[in-house]
Amino acid sequence: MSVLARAKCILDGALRRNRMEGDMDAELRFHIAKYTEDLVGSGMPREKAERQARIEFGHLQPAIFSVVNAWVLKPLPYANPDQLVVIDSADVKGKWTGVTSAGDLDDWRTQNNGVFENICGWQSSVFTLENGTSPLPAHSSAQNSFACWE
Amino acid sequence: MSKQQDLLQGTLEMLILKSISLEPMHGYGILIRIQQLSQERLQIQQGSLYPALYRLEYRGLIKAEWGESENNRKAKYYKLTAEGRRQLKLETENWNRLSAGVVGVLNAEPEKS
Repeated sequence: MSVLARAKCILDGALRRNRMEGDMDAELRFHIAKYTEDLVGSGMPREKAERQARIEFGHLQPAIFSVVNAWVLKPLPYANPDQLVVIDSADVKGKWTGVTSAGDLDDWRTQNNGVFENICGWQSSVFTLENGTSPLPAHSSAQNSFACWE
Repeated sequence: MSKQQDLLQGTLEMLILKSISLEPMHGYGILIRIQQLSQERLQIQQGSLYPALYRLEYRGLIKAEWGESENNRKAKYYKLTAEGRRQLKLETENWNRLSAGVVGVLNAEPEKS
């Protein structure tokens, strides 16, 4: 797959994810509203019904999202998604810094000795991609990122 | 929704297919319909319903469309695809065969000598 085709594939996947999450959110809000009405119908005061529906269903919402993410949306085009890991730098006290210098990244690559198939870096400068009417948050990544996703 | 009944894996999806084979329905409607049809014996966990729906949709067995609910709210309605109808038929046959077999074993009497 060419780099451009792969980029399009990733972008399409992200757009699909955005749209699906928006749909899911609207659908779950409808569910909560219907459940509230049924509770009111069974004699519960509205305020209490709203609270109960939100509590009962609200804590399920993140669980539903994560299950759906894992089951339905997961096919981002990585060959072996279970082998992807994040490598981070730690300071002398062993605390993750979340930042790695370009020099360190180069050292990791040259001294990798086959531990990792490939190592790439990304920079978290956030910008927005436009695709028709849907803006999409994006991160810039280092030049060899696509090699990591093959 | 406090009582919950564990269902055999795959059973929930079969029940969902059956419910919406009767008429297109939104998620909440499916939940209530299954409870009613099972005479309240089955209580579907709210947290399992939607992942199951999205899985079925992803597999092309059901199709979703936004429409208006009975009280003019925007709601997502699910209906069976042709593939979903075939799958429901297949699963129903398998289930009937399996349950007939289990009933046969459970109703066995000691042989009279």
